Amino acid sequence: MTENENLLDEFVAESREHIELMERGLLELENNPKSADREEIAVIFRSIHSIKGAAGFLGQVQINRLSHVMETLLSRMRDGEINPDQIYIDALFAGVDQLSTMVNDIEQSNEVDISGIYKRLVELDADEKASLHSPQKSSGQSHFVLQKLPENHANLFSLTYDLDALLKQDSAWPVMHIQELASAGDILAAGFSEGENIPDESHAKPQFHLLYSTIMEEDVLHEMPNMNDLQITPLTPLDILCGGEQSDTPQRISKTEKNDLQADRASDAPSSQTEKEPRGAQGKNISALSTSSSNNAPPKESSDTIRIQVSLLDRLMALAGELVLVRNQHIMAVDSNDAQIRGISQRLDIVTSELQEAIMRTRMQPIGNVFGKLPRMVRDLSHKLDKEIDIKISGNEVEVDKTILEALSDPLTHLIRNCCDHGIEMPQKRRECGKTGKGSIHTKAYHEAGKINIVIQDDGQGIDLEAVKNKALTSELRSEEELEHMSDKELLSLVLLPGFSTTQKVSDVSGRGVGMDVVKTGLEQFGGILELDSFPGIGTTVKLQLPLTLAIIPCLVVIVDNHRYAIPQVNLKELVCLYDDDVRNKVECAGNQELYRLRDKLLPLVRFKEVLQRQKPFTENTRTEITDKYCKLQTDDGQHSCLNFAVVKSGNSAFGLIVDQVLGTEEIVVKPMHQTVKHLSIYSGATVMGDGQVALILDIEGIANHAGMEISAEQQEDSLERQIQENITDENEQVLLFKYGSQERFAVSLPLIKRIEHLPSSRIEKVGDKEFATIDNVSTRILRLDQLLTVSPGQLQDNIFLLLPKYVRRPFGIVINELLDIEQTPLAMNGDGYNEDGLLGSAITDDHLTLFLDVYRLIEKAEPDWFEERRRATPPPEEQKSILLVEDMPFFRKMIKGYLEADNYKVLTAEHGLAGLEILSKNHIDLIVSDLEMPEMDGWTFISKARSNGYGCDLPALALSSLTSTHDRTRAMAAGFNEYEVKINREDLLTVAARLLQNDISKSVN
Amino acid sequence: MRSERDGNPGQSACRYQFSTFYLAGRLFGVNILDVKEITPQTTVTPIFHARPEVKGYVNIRGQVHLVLNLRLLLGLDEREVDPQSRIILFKAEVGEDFGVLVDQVSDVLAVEEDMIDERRQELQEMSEQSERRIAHLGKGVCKLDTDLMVILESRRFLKAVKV
Repeated sequence: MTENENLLDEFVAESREHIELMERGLLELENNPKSADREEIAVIFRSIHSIKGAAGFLGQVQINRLSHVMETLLSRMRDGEINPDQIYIDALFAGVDQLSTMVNDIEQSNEVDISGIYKRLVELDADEKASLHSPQKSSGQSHFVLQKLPENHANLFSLTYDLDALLKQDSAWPVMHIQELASAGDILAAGFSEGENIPDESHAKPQFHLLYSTIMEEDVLHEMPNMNDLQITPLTPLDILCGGEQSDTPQRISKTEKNDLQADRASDAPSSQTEKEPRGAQGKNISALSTSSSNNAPPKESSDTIRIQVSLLDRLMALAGELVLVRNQHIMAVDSNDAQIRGISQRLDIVTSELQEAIMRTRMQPIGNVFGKLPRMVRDLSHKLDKEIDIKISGNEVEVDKTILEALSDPLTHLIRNCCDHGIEMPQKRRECGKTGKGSIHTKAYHEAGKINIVIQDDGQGIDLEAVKNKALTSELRSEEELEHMSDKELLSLVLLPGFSTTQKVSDVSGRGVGMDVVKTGLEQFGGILELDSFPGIGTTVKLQLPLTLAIIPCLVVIVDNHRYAIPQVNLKELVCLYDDDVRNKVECAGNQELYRLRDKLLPLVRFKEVLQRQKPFTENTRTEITDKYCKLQTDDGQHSCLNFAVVKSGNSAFGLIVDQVLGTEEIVVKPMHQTVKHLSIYSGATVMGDGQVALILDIEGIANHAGMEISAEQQEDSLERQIQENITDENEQVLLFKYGSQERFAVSLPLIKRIEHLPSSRIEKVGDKEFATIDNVSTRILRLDQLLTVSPGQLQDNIFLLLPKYVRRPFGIVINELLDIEQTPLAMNGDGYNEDGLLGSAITDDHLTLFLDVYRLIEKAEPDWFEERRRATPPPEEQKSILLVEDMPFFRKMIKGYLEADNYKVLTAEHGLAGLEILSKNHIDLIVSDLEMPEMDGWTFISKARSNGYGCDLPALALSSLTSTHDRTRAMAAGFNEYEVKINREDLLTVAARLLQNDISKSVN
Repeated sequence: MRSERDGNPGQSACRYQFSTFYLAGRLFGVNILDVKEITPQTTVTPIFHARPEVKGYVNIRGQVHLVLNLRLLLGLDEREVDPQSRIILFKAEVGEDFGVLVDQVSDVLAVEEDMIDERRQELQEMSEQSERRIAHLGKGVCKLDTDLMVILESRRFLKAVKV
């Protein structure tokens, strides 16, 4: 029984492979019906034949029957009798599906009703024969015409005996022969035929025919005793019932090989004579075919693979892991002075590494195994949805760990379905948008940085952000106010939120989102990352990043409280180490959260030591307690001379995990947590380190949850947290408030500041009437505000601060006496109130008048000749040019306008893309300078509209943005901008503007 | 070798062997058939957030084992690990890779069944707070010539720390 089950298991596994092969083959056939070569059909044919043979052997009656009719159709196709037309392919696909269903539920397969598809295939076959072959077939008459076949008939054959030859033989032969036949089947009918019915003249002798029903296959039948000389003709029930046709020549017989099987008795029929191994039957059959049909089918390629239980591989894998540990311990224990031992140790090292790698590879499977299913899916979906979709796949050969591959299947299916369903538009709509009617999905896999990357790209409509917004509103995931403050990227990420997809109407409302959160969490479970990118009208790109294997992962080993912990490299972004003063100055406390300003982003910090000490998830109180404790420590100085933290990310959030010490990275073998402690969310596993001690692997997401990082991001009532969120996203809209003299408050836009340097006044030296200080080994020009503006003089202090601006060609610093705060840029800045050259304007912050400095103008006032260089290199055009400046933030609008006007440009301003378009239509403009992230209409849309509506089709356009990634840059260029500059870099902005206008002139001259 | 003697048909069918050890000066025993090995490897990696009875992880020849602090499990006071401390590791059928930390191991004792008192009245004299826990994990007590051995059911250890 168990042997039988084993066989059945093998059959299922084998059949799945065959089904996959057939699907691939059929798709190929469908796509190139013309060029379809026989060999391809033969491959499909062989697959179905193998299934049929094995199914018959194992008593899988329904599978056997179904595969039989499919085989018949295919064999005729292979022989060129019928063309691989759509109607046949569809029927075959349906058959393959049915087969796959039955194979997947093999226990029930005999109960499955296959009559629908069976009939469809038989009729196709019959129609075909009737229309094409019946005229020629008139000569071939069936010897047997029965009204009805017995219920339990199996494979049907016509056995033809040459009576003349028979007579010459041993007289006992017929009796034995008939007994043999009866033991393996049933003789249903018998009769003579007349010579003239047989076209072959050599057979023009009295012949005796038996209609024989047996469980055996044709090739097996041949091997029965005394059957060698017989002419055996397989028949289908149709041949007998219709009485229409019997294959006429031996050649035809072999070619079309018709044998039906309704082997209800298959399982109890004697099987001693049937092939032990179904595959063998297939091989023989093919060679039999090739001799008679001159269709030179190649011999079945000898298989160089074997099946191995996955559990065995897992065991090997575990052992290899152990060996790695032993190796590590050995290396440590070895006395490196002993040359011989050292040599052995090194070889052990190498062999172990290679062994581990090789064993890892046993679990690796080409990603094509999963990708292979996609074309079929896309085909079916596109038929169903009445769309035309093409799928391109590359990187099939990329190998992934089996577990990952299995886990990947569902998310991938989901994503492709999304592409087809929501991404790609209907053909007509596509044409209206100026695209080809046929949508395309490009799926590719590649290795990068020790990870597998999978990119799924469609050229559909993209995700409609407005719809996402509405959806988020209606399902109360986000408030209106929140949505207004969100960037496109953030809006996109809403699609990934759980609950975003709960309603069925999603496909009507948003572009995407059916269970994207499920996909995302599914991926994250095994360390994968999902990135979503969408350009309305252009398409959507989903990028998946997966680890190569789960068993051995690279980790950063850190020490906390004298114990080692491993942080998976997947979660790690970077390491930050602060020393001395920085520990005190750079870590800020905001409410109950410690923060660090990492390259202008506020990064919440988590003290892992405190996390370890607290078993319960953090509450507001715990956080306050911890923060108070450390903020106090910071003010009592000398306590910390060094602070290490790892910047880790989980999902979309990042935080700094403070550890005592960083040891380094190591490849570690992951061991699952013991059942008893599995519920602890902050660990994902354990590992044995090189010295034999156990270290715990941290679960960054669990830690984030424990420390309340995730919750706080979602708990939107928590105003402070929201402020942090906003700070992170809108850091460009912040200003530093400070005092110089006793009276005035000044403000400088935060992104303009490189850093603030704290130094004793004694370090300032005088050269003539100019002051300098040496900062970073560079002599830096010092500016005092009271020398440039009419403001109160600075007080004399022992220590001063120096504000070092960004984007300056020569170093200089502005003296600050007192730092006040960091504030949101007030939206209402009054440029008409108190103003003078060197100020952008003034505004009321915290009930005080605050003067906004125009840093670059101040420098220009102090050192006018610094700017002459640039003006000489790329002089602004001589005649006054008009520039359209599109910028939503009043502050920046004013600032940039100021920059441009200083260079004698005429500047027209607009708050957003829509207003920009209107100005464009009414005024003469020479150059467009536009922000990207704006309300109403963003910069990308603005420029593509401007390019297409005729007013701005050939104007030079410069994108200004605080977004600095290359991705943003290319996206801006793609949308139609000529250049891309960072918003506040005055010098470059003016240089590029001048250059663009020059190009423009030269272009028009040409 | 010590494990095979128990089921010996030649002897009394009701003879048990116990691996004995000390905790807070008291003698305890577990069925020797449950014991895989006893190791002096007591460098344990603590698992924060786990229950206090969970001492941590120990690596035994590449295999990570969970170590329980048997003192705490029995309601006794905690004590520093010293050179006498041992970890008794149990076989797979007792529970997923685990062991217990004990103060000191002692001999293997063979005991007739009638020496075991299932009613554990003698446990009354144990300290108040630990009594209930021992009662929960204990199977009985056994009066020896000089001492009293509390027999513990090792299969209940892991369950006792389950949440």
